[in-house]
Amino acid sequence: MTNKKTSKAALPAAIVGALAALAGLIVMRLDPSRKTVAFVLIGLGVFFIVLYVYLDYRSLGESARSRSTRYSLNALAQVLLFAAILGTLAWFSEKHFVKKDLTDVGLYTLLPQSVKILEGLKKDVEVIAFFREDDFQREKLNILLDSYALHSKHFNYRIVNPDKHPSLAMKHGIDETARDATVFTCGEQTTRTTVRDEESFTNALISVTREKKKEICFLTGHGERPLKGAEPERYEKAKKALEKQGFGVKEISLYDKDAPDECVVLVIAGAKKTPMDQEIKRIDEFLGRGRGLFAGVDPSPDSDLGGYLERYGVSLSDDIVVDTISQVAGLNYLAPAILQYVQHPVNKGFNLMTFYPMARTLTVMGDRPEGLRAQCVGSTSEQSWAKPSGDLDHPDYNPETDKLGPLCLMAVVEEFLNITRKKDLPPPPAGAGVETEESGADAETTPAAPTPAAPEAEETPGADEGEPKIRTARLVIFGDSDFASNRLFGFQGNGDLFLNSISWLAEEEDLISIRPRSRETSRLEAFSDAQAGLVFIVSVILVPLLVMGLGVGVWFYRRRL
Amino acid sequence: MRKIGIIFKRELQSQFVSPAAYAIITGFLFLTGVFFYIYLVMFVQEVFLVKSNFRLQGSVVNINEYVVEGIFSSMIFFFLFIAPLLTMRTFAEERRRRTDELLFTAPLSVTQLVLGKYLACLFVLVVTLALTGYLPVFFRMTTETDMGPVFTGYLGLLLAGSSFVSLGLFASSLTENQIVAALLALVGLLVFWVIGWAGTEGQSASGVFSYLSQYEHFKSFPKGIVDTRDVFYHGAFTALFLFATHRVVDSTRWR
Repeated sequence: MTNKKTSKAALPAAIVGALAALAGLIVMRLDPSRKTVAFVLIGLGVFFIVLYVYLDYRSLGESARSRSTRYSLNALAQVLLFAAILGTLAWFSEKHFVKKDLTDVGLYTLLPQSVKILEGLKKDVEVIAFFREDDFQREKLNILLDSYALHSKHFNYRIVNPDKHPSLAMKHGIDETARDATVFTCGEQTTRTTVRDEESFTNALISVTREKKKEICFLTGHGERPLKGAEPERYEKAKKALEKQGFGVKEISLYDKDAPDECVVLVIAGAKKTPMDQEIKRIDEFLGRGRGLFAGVDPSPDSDLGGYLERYGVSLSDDIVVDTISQVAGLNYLAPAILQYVQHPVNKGFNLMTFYPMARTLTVMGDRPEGLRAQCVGSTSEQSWAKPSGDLDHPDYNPETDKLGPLCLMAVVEEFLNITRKKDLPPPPAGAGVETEESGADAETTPAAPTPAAPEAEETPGADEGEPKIRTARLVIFGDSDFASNRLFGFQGNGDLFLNSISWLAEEEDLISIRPRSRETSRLEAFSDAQAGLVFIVSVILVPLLVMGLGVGVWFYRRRL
Repeated sequence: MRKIGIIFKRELQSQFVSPAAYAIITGFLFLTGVFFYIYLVMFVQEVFLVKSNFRLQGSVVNINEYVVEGIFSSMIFFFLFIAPLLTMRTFAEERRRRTDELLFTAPLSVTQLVLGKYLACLFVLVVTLALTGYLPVFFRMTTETDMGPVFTGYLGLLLAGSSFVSLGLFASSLTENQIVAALLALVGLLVFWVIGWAGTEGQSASGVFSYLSQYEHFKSFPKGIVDTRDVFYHGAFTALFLFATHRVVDSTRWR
């Protein structure tokens, strides 16, 4: 016989106990720092549940012994067992699965080159993709990275929200301005890319699994900005940022020896004196090996490298740029800004403002040798002008002496060595499947290697899927060097543009060009009102009405029966 | 198999003699039609805007991304609501009318009973999907469409729909009240739809939550991807809830 008084108190005790325990679990989940509160609540919950059992143990015992309870528990146990079996099978299915891409362009299928590289991976590569939760591209990225993981057990990735993991983001140099980046790490080597496509990811894989580190070499001996030191004009922040990206950084002199073989980029940052002839020759020979040159050239008489850059179609003016826009950013009018960029692989996806105190203008010369492609990719606004250097007492615009903006501050040059210097092309990697074309050029070139003619402006040589890139020398020239100094490296997009430039220059011949698989805009010549009307009538009215009519018909028929 | 067929026909008849199924299907088709029309018109406007505006030349406006993925995502969302409505009366009504006793005394196993009802509800869902067959026609009529994702989108709807029906049957087996059955099924489906959001990145639990999410195992289909992991998930989900239904019905039989 149950005690009515105790069973009245039992149910509220059970409810309070369950609620308290649940509240404790919720507090623990939402705010792990409040463990004490959570444990107290859970403790209270347990206490009240035990109280309930004590107060109502007789009727509980009767229920537990009843047939319906036994059947229910038995059914529950069977379902849980079945779920456990399915869970085990699910685990197997996660390890051994097949993924088919049924899109017509193979949008989600990796190219054979990428697959080959993945299948050849012998060391673990950890990939962390920093992306915000609300980024709609996150799903595409997940599919892309999943495709990589499909082909190699050594490829592990995760997508992380930098807002939720600020310490991890900071560790990898991801901050407010450089948030959307994917970091690849293999052992000691690390590299990162802000571009989310197969080409960038595969090339990042190649870079990070390479045995030797790429070195960025800073030229010394002409008053260039030192790499060490926290003084505002030095380049220590730039050096550290490059090292974080996986590059080695060192200073070299070309006075009495060639650039070391491991140097992939030579940086001339604010030289105050013209290099000597043999140094110029060594720079030229360095570029002839298909390497990169970064030149930050300040507006002073002896700092223009003796006109060397004119060989590459870029002349440096003896002027200083005045820009009224800079005052908006808190700088004075002698710190012009680049607000917009001409789209070029060097600044792919980059759209931050950058500032250049005491900058000189560049001019891309129209008359250039065959095999040289030079263009201005960063210019100031129309509210800027260039004054002859030495005429800063009157900064206002003088139409007789000053050049009105937009003015070029950043230029990019590519020299196709097979044309300018008749360089042999690298052999294609094994399995590249490169089709050879008729060689119409030098008879001494390797017969198996393709020798394209000078490319059109819009073509990217070797852009067919999976082909090795044609060997080029690359130059990035700025009319200023202190935009990347300690003082301004972290200002707006300055640091990022510097790093992007070096990354682009550092690309080597073993990287591949991949034309990204993408959908094109659908061709639609016309869509008349009649067509729209037809779609509306059929999809919104006709089909639903048909079914509704059928339902009404059935209802009437049933009524008559 | 013959007995399953008998239950299948009986359940199907019961679905189609009642106006409820027609009302549910009409509602689904109407909403699908409206959303499709909106997606298509917006797509057409976007294409002409990109064509006429030089600054937008780099933008890609493709019917697969704008319309196909959108309409399939909408249709699966509508399924979340129509599956409970289609399944709510399967077992609940039998219990309320006490006709379940007749079934239990018939020479029929619980497995045959559950499978027969499941197949009937699935058939209704398939018919509903078939009635959206005008979609691929209009896609092709408008412009060149990659039909791979259309095919995989329908496959995904079928697999997910099968999961939804199995959960709906389970909910219906728990109660004799149709409304409660529909609500239980709806809540259950919504939980499985949004559970993927519950995980915090970096914690091992987030992988489990993500795996349990129906949305995570559907979203690749409209893109044109068929992944055996997703197929397995839907198959396992269906099997689990059909088994659970079987156990509930069987235990009810012996009470």
